[in-house]
Amino acid sequence: MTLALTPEEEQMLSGKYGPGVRKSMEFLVKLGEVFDAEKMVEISSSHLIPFEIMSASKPGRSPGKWIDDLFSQFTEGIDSFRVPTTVNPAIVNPLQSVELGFGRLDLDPTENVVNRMEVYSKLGVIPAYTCCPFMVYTPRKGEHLGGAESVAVLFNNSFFGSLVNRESGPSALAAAVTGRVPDFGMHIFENRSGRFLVEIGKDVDPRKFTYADYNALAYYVGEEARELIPIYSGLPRNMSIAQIKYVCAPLGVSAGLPMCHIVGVTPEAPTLEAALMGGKPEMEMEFGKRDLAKAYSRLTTANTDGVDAVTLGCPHATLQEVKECALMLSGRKISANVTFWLATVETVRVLAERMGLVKAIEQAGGHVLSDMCSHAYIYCRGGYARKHGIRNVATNSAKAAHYINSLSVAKTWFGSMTKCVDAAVSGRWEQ
Amino acid sequence: MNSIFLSGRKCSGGKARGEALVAHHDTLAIGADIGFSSGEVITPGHELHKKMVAGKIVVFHTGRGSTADPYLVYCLKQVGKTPMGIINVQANPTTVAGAILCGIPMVHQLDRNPLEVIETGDTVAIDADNGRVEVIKAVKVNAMAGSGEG
Repeated sequence: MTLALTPEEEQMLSGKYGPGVRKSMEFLVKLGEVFDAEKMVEISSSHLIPFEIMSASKPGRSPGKWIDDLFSQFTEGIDSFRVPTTVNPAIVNPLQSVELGFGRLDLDPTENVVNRMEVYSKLGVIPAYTCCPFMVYTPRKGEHLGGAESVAVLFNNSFFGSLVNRESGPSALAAAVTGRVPDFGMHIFENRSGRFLVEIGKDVDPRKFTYADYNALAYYVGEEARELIPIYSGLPRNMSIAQIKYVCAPLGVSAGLPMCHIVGVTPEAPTLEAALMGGKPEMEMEFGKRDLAKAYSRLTTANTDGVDAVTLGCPHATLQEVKECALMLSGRKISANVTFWLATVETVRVLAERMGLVKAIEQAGGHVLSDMCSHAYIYCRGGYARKHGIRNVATNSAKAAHYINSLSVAKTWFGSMTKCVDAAVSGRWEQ
Repeated sequence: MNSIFLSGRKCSGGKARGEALVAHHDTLAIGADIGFSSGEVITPGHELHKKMVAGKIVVFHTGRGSTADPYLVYCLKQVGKTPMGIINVQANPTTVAGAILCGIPMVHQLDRNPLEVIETGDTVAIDADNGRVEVIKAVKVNAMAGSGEG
């Protein structure tokens, strides 16, 4: 099987556009050949993952330089990326570094982040550092995209009906440099059919689901899915963007899934039959009360009721979520012993500021973060959790709970935003 | 010495020869599951926990891990802690991206299940460009032999 290139792509490969484009195209061709791509497809945007988060998880070394060198190799000779490009959250927003106490750490990452942000902006990225780039740069149905963040990939395939593979860091970078990705996987319609049917059981009512319930549902489904694309049947057709975000994101954590079908929501799934594309499901399950409880217990690891930190906004909170959080905190005071962080997209933060929501959360003693991850700081840079004595973290996010448990010394309480806010005020988790 | 020859498909070109390390059940993230200092699998509960991966031919079903994993593999390469070669039953794009990025020979889709043919301790030679794998079985110590009985 050969991968046919257009004359322009051949020129990219031959070095006409410089060494960075050549290296990027070489990389994409090699990757495409392995997965039987017959051609490249033009993409309309890409989404990068920055490296300081990953390199930071290997404390005691400074791998930043190696990764910077690698980035330079892929971008050598280009003035800007070929397509609109967004970037994942940074480990810390340099403008909030002091407020959040990062300056006290031995390894202050601020300088690194500032340097990298300068490199990105020279290459023309849209400077919103978020796992939810669709809140800033919206794709449409049938558009091919590049991009690496699993939340973005899941949401773009499942909600917008865009076509994007769960790419890795270097391939998303190469895609931004060349404006191309190899044509395989989610770029081919036949591969997008749902194959694992998840019926919502009679003993649960999804119309009353909290965000945490949606997270628990998706986390459980991912664990069962064996990499088969799931179809959610029986969820409300009028689900909010935040609810859809939470029914997608955990599938990239408990499984490496690029897509799900939500019957009545996903463009390719107006009906169950459409989601199955004429086929039959390979696996079926009914998701009930007991499964929900199981997922909660897997995401909860704390064995004492104290809460030292609350983290919300994973994936980044919508304006509606920021508002709900601000209303819950209004007139209340977060315990002095509890760190309270809600993360969102910069554009949402600006609007939330105008609406007085940021002030309400800050007056209660919380922080509204943007351009950075809501929880990566807990396990990055030699262990914020250990240095700041954070033993138990409360969250309504399955993704945050999963990574806090697997990558830090801290334990988790998992529950609704209401319970998280109550815990922030009292400093204890009510069981 | 008898060799077993397997034939499959290239994921990442090159040749490698070394000692096999086989994960029969668990998936593996070449970056995140391998310790930066030790070159061993650091993930508690993993069937290869505390086993040395650096310099080995690692054999497992398929990869897992975050989309950032190839960057971690690149960092491992700078300190010489990557595996020498990778054999998968079915590769996933993240593992392949890491292997291509770091020039680690890798194959998948072999004509026999490598998890059944290859055992930890066997010597394995990969010729990824031609999709060929040679397995030289480790000599098993026969419990009866040399017992002086029978």
